[in-house]
Amino acid sequence: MKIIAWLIVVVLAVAGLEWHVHSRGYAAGVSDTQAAADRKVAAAESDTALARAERDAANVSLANVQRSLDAQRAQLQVANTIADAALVANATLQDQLTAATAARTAAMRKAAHDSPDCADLARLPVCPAVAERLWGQAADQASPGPHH
Amino acid sequence: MPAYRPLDAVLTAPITEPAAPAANCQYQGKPAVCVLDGLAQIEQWRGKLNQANADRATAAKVTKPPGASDGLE
Repeated sequence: MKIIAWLIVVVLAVAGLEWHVHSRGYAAGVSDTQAAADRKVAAAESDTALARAERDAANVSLANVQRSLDAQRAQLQVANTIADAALVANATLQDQLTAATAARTAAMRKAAHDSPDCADLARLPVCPAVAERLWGQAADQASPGPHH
Repeated sequence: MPAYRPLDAVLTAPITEPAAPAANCQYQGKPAVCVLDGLAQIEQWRGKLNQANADRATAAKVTKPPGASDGLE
């Protein structure tokens, strides 16, 4: 009778131990699976955040390039406008300079004509040697020389 | 990329020298240039110099990048 009681105790102990190990192993397996899944989710989220940051940075630099191009285009338009205005002003100024040159020449001739001291200048010829040096043979038919 | 356009051909074309004065006087029976006409050429040359300087000033204005301070004006 005593032996049977011991056997029952041993059997119960073994069964209890078995149940305990089994149940604990199952929980551990579940928690391991859960932890692995959590790690994968965390890694995926990190990758996503990184990709988003890279995409945002690329968008920002693209916008910067676009802005720089727009600024350069605007600058070129301004430069073209300034250049056109400057060329128009230059053409006007050239006309004024031509007129001023003619006016100065006329004034010089008038002064020479009006002053008895200068009257001889209108009659005095430039000597051939000097005339040829200054204006070539076209203005010096009197003495065609070997010069060009 | 420079933000200005190439120099206009108007500003780089050669400036021709003034024409030789007409031979309105006589030297030993042959036509010759009067001294007064020769002196008048000084004004013609001065006119060419003014033309060239106007072109130079315009070239400086045209090639200056926008926003740069005006050094000459």
